[in-house]
Amino acid sequence: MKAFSNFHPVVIFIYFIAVFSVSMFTQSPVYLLISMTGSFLFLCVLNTVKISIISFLKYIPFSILIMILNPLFSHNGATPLFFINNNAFTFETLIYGAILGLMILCVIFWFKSFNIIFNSEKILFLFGKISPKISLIFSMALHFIPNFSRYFNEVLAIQKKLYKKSKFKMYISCFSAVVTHSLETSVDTADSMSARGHSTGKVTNYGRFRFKTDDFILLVSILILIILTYIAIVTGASKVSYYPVIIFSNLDLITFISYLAFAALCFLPGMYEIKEDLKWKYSISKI
Amino acid sequence: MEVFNIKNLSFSYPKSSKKALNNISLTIEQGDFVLLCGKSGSGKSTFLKMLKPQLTPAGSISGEIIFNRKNLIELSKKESAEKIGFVMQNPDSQIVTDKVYHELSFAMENLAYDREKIRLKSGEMASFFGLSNVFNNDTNSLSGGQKQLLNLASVLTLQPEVLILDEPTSQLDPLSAENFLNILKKLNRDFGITVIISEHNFEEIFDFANKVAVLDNGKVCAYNTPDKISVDLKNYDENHPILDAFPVSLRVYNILNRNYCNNVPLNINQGRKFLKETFNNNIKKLDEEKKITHVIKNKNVVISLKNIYFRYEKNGNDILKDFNLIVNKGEIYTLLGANGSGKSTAVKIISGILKSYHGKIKLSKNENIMYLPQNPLILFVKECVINDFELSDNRDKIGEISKIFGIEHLLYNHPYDLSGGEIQKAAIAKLMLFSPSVMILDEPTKGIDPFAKNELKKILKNLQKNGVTIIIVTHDTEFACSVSDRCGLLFNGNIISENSSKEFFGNNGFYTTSANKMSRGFYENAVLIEDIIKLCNLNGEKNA
Amino acid sequence: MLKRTFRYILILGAVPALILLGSFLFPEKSYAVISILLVIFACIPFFISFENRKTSVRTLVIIAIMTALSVAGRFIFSPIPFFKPVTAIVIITAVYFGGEAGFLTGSLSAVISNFYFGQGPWTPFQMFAWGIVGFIAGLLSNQILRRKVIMIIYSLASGVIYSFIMDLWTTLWSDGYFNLTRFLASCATSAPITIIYSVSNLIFLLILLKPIGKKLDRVKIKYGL
Repeated sequence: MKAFSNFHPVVIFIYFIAVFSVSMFTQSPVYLLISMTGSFLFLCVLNTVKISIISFLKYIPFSILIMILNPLFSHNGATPLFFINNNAFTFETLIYGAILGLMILCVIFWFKSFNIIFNSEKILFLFGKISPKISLIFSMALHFIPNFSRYFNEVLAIQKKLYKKSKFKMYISCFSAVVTHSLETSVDTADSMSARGHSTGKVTNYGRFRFKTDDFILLVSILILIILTYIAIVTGASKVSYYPVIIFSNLDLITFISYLAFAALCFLPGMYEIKEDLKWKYSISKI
Repeated sequence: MEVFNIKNLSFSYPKSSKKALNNISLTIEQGDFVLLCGKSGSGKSTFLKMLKPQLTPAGSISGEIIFNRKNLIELSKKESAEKIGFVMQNPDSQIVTDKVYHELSFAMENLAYDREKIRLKSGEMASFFGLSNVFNNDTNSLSGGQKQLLNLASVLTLQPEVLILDEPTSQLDPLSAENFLNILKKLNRDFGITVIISEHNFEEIFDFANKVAVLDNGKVCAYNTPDKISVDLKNYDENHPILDAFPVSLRVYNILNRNYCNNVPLNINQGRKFLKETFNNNIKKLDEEKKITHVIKNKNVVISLKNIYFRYEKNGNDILKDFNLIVNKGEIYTLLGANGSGKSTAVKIISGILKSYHGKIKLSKNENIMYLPQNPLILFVKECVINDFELSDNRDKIGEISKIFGIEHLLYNHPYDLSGGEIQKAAIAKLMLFSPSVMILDEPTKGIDPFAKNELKKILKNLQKNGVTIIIVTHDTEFACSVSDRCGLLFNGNIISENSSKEFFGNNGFYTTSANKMSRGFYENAVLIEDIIKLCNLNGEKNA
Repeated sequence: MLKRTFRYILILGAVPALILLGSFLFPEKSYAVISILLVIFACIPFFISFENRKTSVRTLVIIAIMTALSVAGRFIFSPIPFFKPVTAIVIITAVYFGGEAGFLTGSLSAVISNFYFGQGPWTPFQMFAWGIVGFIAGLLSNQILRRKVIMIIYSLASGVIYSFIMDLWTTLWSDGYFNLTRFLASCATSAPITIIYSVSNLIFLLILLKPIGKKLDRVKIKYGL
């Protein structure tokens, strides 16, 4: 069940931009933790909990590495823990490194969901309107790629039987056969395009997505939530500075609302999936 | 009303002195179903491309083509796209986009139809063509037959007046081909769309067409209704090769060559009527039959497969289940079966391209197995046929072998410039350079014309004489019947019937040759056209 | 014409506007934001000019094929580590069809191959890096075809350009500003891979440049040109 992916591509795209923009460019651990939890929940719903936990654990060492490496490159901060070659290894840079690690984790996780939800079809729809020619090339390439790989494997299977050449030479000559095949058949492809009126003039761009009321509701909610989130960021109310010493801003109302709004934004797709799933199970149970 | 009026059309390709089309004049009426036949290279494709300005190749043209009372050249790009639909041979290379619905909307997008109309039309087409359940799928996930239907559907979204099809079913299996042709008939019959189609194997549509045109060396040598075309063609050339490509019933009629007063039989049913009403039919079978079954009795087993199981994916279905096969030295064994019955998989396992997960494969010692894939072009990786030949260790044999195969004049050509029959020969010749003792051919008759088929038959018989064991996988019952010693029918992962080819086809009810279908009930085991002719002559005419 | 001028003004105006916006919204990370936006906007003029120009069906098909070949190449050569024909194919397209086609093939190859290998914040940078490698190859096309030395130098340089841009991205993203030590460090860590990539570019280009050229010539005749 990927109910969230049924929304209009434009709305989904705006959602991801909103979440990415906060997760990638903020330095506040609160936003990052909210974002991390939200992305993790979403991924758990899209995949299974087990897969999500495994991939989470896989990235932990990577984040720790980033955390430890940061003080080696950056020597800001007022609290040195120890010195290497007269360069301070400071407490602040270590914490900043941890934030960096968390941020990278967040982005990787959101992109994991993005890759599942935002398939090539949606990208094509999104950019087809802006650029019909490029999106056509895009679509054609997507059609060709599996074809070429299959042709290559067929050629390779035969060549392997016939000749005993080095692997590299074999691959090159088979790849060259794929190039020949693709260019030779391109004549047909071009003919079939011309025959069906390509480059006669104006074009329309057709996608099977329609903008529905649900999409409108989601879009408005996203916009309200992201604006509420940003008020605190732009005014600096939720700012955290790390150098020379770590300073958290006081938790005022604007910041609190901002955290809440961002949490709502991040948990939205995961919760939506769960809701739809329950609704579905309930409907099924009535049969 | 005339749709096309072609006057003195001649065409030659650049840098070529030979005329590819030579002074063609013919008219095509609205609602016609025109079948265009001719050998490979007779100019069929060139002629069809002339009828669609966007596809007309570069070269010098003379004469004129009038389309709907207007000179074809004056047609705007938009009009041409909307009024003249064109479907080509290769299902794969015509598809442009990655999704089925996108492909369906492609033509309408190009002509800037509004979105509502596109939504409606593409849905309508998908329903008509049975593509609704794959509407949102990748185009790559379709079968060859579905791909070709998609190509046709995409063209039809513009509601063309004329449909031009250049060998549209030559790359399809018989069932998909039949389905495709039935839809064409329906479009012609129910919607009045004018159809111009070229085909190599046209038995299926011959009686439906209302005009047949025969092209020979760029000339239209006969153009008439199906029942009169043979007379015209015989007047042009008594032994014209196209006569052998006509439906079995008509060939029998033509070969017996007498002036019967009843109707000319154009399909199997009419052929049966013809046999029933014209001949005495007291003699049921030919005497020589018993000898044939005794030919292969030498038990020199070359390949034996026992209890073979195979699947492509770990959790997939078994393609082969408890598959057993024994092939004897020097025989031609043919494996038949429907799509997806596992024929190709079986021969890929024998040739070592795929590995079974269970079962025993025994090959006798020193056997060198060569495998000819469905698409023979896969064997060629160089820019020139001879360069590919030179990759083998037996360079000294190139001259000799290419002489045997009659392809010396093709050695310096690009593999992609050869016709279907030529590339097939070149591919077999290439495999012969590796001195195989077993040759496996996967669908060798796919996409080649009947004359190339005959040559292939001769080549295979010749290889057999030289001691090569041959295994063939094919859908082509006529070819299988005439070339093989034994045949097996694969169903659901194993061979369910196996016999000498004559008895195999004689016993099968549906999976058999046209000749057998036509003579069933009158004659026993008459599986080839020659058998019918002999029996007819033996029996003699009624009231004669 | 007016519309086009307006578009260009929009693009020219967009860059400073983005910088301002980025530093206003994300004061801590302005460089990273701006760099991503800049890279995206750097790609746009190429796309627009391609979109507006009349292109033949043939060119369209061939760019799609070259893009598909470069992406399929990543799969095809996966059993041979580090040897990927992507850059070579991008350069070849640029040499025979001009810089714009090269840019397009490069940047589309990046997006499309990331559908299989995963999109990430690096996607725009990759698009730009491969695109610009193609674009420059287009400018040098005559030199690359005629003089082997230039071809060798450029194929090696293309690997360096690519990893330079990607290292720049790593630095900006992790620090939020340009930290020279980190940049040098990431260049140093990626150096062995950069060298392998450069060499593989060279090998692929040496093997493929002329043969693909021949194949293209053949197809040109087939297209009746």
